Amino acid sequence: MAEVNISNVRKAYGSLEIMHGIDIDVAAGEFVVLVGPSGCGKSTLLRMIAGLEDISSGTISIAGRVVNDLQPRDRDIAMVFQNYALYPHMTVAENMSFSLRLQRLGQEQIRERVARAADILDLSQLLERYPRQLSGGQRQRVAMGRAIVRNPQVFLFDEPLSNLDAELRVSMRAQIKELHQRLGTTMIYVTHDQIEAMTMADKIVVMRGGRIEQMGCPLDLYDNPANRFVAGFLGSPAMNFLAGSVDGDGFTSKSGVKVALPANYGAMQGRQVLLGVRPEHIEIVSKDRPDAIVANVALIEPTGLDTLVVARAGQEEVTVSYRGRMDVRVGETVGLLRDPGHLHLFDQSTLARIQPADQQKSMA
Amino acid sequence: MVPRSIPLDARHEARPKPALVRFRELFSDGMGFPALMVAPALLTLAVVIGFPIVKGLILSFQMIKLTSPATGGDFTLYNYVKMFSDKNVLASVWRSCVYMSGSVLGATFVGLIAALLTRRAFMGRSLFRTFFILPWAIPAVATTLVWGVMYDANFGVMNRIVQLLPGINSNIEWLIDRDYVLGSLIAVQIWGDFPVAYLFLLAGLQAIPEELYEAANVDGANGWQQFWHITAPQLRYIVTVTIILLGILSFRSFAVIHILTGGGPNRRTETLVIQTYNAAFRSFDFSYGAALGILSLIFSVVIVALYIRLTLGREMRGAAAT
Repeated sequence: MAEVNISNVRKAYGSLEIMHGIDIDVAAGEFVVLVGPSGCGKSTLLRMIAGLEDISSGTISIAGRVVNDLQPRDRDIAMVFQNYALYPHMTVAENMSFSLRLQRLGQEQIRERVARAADILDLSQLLERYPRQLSGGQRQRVAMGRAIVRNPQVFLFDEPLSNLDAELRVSMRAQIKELHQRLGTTMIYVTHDQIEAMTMADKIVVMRGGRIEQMGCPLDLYDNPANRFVAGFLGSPAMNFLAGSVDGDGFTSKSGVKVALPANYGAMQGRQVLLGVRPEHIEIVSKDRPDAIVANVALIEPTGLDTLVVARAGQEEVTVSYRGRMDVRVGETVGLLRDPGHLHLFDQSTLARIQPADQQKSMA
Repeated sequence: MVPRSIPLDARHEARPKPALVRFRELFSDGMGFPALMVAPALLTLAVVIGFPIVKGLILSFQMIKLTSPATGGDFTLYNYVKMFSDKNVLASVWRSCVYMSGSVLGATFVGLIAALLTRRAFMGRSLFRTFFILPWAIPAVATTLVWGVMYDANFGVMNRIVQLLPGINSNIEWLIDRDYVLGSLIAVQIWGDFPVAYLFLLAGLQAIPEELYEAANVDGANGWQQFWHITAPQLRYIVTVTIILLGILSFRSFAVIHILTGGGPNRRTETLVIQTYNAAFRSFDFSYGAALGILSLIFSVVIVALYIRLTLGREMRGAAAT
C-alpha cells in the first residue's frame, strides 16, 4: 500500500501538448477512478504512472519515490490491461506465476501465492487451462490474479471490464471492489463508464481534453458538479439543460419556459445561464397545478425499476425519471414540477457552475 | 376446363429451369462438376510435373548414356545398385545436409536479427526494410557472379576486408581452399535466402500484441527475458515454417554452387543436386542422373510432407496463438 503523487505532469508530442499539467494526490489504500470520454487522456495518464509512456515534464512519485525515470518493472506496480494481455502460450498458473518466477522465488512460495490468489478469484479449477480455453470473465479474473500474486504497492486497471457483457460487468465490478476492501491496496482505475466510476471509487477524477475537470468523492461530484461537462457526464440519464436567462420571475428559457428560482439566486438578474436539473429531481403532476410547467409526453421508456418520460415544454425537451410505474401516455399533457433544492445554474459563456449566494457566502 | 388452382409443385415444374441448374444436373453424382473445375489445373500439373517425374522414373530403370551407344532401354536396377554402392552419393547427401543446415540456420538467424531491428518504428525504417529485401529481388545468377568476383583470392574485396583483422596477412582462396569453400558458398546462399526469413519473421513479430511486452515489462521482465518468454514462444510456429521452407529452397539450390565451383574442388562442394546435374549433363549418363534425381525427389517430398503436416495440422486445430 502506497500513496501516489502526480504533480504538474505534462505530455507533449512535439509542439502538441495533450496533457496540461495534471495534479492528483492518491492516498495510500485509496480507490481512485479516472473517468472521462474517449480521448480525454485517462489511459495515457495511467500508462504514464505505469511507466509505459514517457512524461514530458512534472513528477510522478510512488510511496514518496520519484519514478519518472524508472522502468515499469522497477515501479512495484501491477496492471490489468483492457484486453487482459494474458500470455497465450502459458497456462493460467504460468501466467499468474510469471512475475514470481522472474523474481526467482522458491517453487513452494510461488505455488502458495498462486493458490491463494486462485482461491480469492475462484480460479483453482482453471489453473492448467490456457487463456484460449477461458471465457471473457475468466480471463479477466486471471489478469487480476496475475496482478495480485505480486502483492504490489499500487494496482492499475485500464478499462478492465469494457470487453465483458453487461451482467458480467456488474458482478466483476463488485468483485474488484471487494478485492480492494480485502487487500486494502492503492488502486487507480480507468473507465469511460460513469456508473463504474460512481459505484467503485473513493475518489473520482473527471478528465476532458488532457485536463482535470473535477476531482472528489462520487456523491460530492454528483451533487455539486463544478461545470456543465461534469454535470452532464455523471448521471444516467443525463442532467437536463435549458438555456436562458435569469430575470425578475426566476429563470426563463429561450423558448419561454419559466422556472421559479430559490431566493438565493436573486442577485443574478439578467445573467445568461444554463439551468440544470437531474431527471430524478423532476416530478410529473397534474397540468392544472399553478406552479407546474405544462408539457407534452413525447416518449415513455419503462425499465422495470424506473420509468423514463421524455416530455416537451415548448421547444425544450426534458427527461424525467420516476422510480416505479407511471400511468401516462404518449401525447398526454402533464405538469412538470422541479425540486427547488436541486437546481444547478451554469454560466453560459464559461460553463462553470454558479454558486447560489448563500453558498458563496459560506464558502467565503 | 382449366383448373382454378394448380398445385404449387406442378407450377414449379412447368417453368423452364435456369441454364446453370440444368448444367449442374449433368453432374448429379456430386463429383463430376467439381472434377471438371479442377481438371485444367490437374492437366497442367500432369504435363509440367507429372510427366517429367514419370519419364525420369522410367529413365532411372534404363541404361541411357550418351557416351555409350551400346546401352539401351531395357529394365534394369543397375543405376540404383550403383547409387547405393557409390561412396560419393553418401558424401553428397551429407554435403547437401550440411549445406542446407548451415544456410537455413544462418538465413533464419540473420532474418530474425533484421526483423527485430526493423520491427519498431524509427526514422528510415522503410529504407532498411527495402534494403533487407533487396537480395531477394536481384536475380541469383547476377549476384552469384558478383560474389565470385568478391571471393577472388587476388583482387576480391573479401580478402581486403578479412586482412583488416589482426593476424591475417595472406590471401585466402575462398573458393578453392577445402576449409573455406563450403562455408563461402553457404554465406552466398544465406545472403540470397535471408530476405525470405526476414519477411516471414517480421510478419510474425508484428502479429505479437504490444500489450504482451508491456505486461511482461510490468511483471518485471527485462529485454532479454521478454525475448525469451514472449517473442520466442510466440514465433515458434513461424520459425518452424520458415526453416522448412528455406530447407526446401536450399536443398534444391543449384545456381550458387554451379556458378561458383561446379561442385569442386575435388567434389568438396558437390551436393546431391550438383551430382545429379554432373552425372546427367557432364557425364551424359542420363539414367544414373535420373536415379539421383529420384533420390533428391524423395528428400524433397519428406521436407514438403513435414511442412504440409505442420501447416494443415495447425489449420485443423485453429490458430494456436490465441
